[in-house]
Amino acid sequence: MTCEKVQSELVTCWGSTEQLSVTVAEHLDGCETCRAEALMLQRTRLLLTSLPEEEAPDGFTASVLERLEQEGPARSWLESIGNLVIPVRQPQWARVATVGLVLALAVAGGAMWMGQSNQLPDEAQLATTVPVPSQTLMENAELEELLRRHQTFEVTQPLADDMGVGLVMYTSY
Amino acid sequence: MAKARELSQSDVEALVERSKAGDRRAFGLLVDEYKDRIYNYVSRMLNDPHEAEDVTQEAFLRAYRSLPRFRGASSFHTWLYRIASNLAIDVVRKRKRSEPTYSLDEPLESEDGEYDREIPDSNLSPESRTSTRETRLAVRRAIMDLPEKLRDVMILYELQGETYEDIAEILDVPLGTVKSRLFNARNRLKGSLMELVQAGEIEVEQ
Ligand SMILES: [Zn+2]
Repeated sequence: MTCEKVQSELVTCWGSTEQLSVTVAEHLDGCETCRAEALMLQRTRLLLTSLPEEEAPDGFTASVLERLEQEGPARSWLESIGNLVIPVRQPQWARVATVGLVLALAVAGGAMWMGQSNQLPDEAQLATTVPVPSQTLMENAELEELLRRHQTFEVTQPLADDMGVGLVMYTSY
Repeated sequence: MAKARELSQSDVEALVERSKAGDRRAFGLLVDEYKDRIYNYVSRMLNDPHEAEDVTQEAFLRAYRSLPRFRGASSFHTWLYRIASNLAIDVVRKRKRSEPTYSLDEPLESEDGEYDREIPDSNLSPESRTSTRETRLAVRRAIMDLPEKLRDVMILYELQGETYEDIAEILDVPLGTVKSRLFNARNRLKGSLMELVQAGEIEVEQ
């Protein structure tokens, strides 16, 4: 086996001599150059993996959510459906028309649905939690449980604006 | 605040669906889950904490806006990486255009010469802390010195622990390309770092 071939195999395994084939191992026994190469690769890997991991700065999630909030009210599920139904590269008028149609249908459906629910859960009054009458979506209770266990940001001030759309402020713990 | 544990795959999928429907708190949980991984990746790509923060934020904002078009053909995390990778590469290319004489003698680092977000290793003596810092700076420079296509693969595989398959998907290149880029990246890195080791400029802690 040539040195070139051996050294190529060494790069693939980062110079580790543990899982080498018998032929490569035998070559290494008799070849100082390739042994030095293996050592250099091992050292390079050590240096590379000695870099500590960096974490996103404090308050990162809250500031992402703040920026989304500044962009306007939360995307409604109707708008989302509009996006799903209409291919992205369709002209704007087609998207608007379809969303309009969906909206018209939804007003009727939504009225019926609202009629059935006497009281919305608290979080449903926030724009951040748009109630979605779909069984495929995670239940509110499940989300609350996940938030309780994982969340590192906090919804601090739910504010209702004059359109009844919630404006929400976020901070990190 | 430390998280209780990582989200399960089904939690992630459910949160993606809720986020698609406009639920920002659900999206907030996804940001919490992936922010460190994406930040670490972008930070290694750019070697500048402020730019890394901006790009990571932008990646999540774009992800949220594009969610309606995310159909789950790839996993959410590879999709997110893809957005972040495109943004990071844009910054790298912009830098190249505006700073054609980018010099490695002027490393991109914070004012005190060290990255603010790294936790100092309190077990080390002042001397070895200095040499550790110099070594880390040299390693970062060596990574930055790789062409961006090699750097991307190197960081994703060696530092982020992504699989060949996921990297191929993130970068939209064939599996063989991922492997050959990784091979070249390792060789180049070995060349530049071992030169410094042999010159006694950095040490390898065994
Ligand atoms: Zn040899």
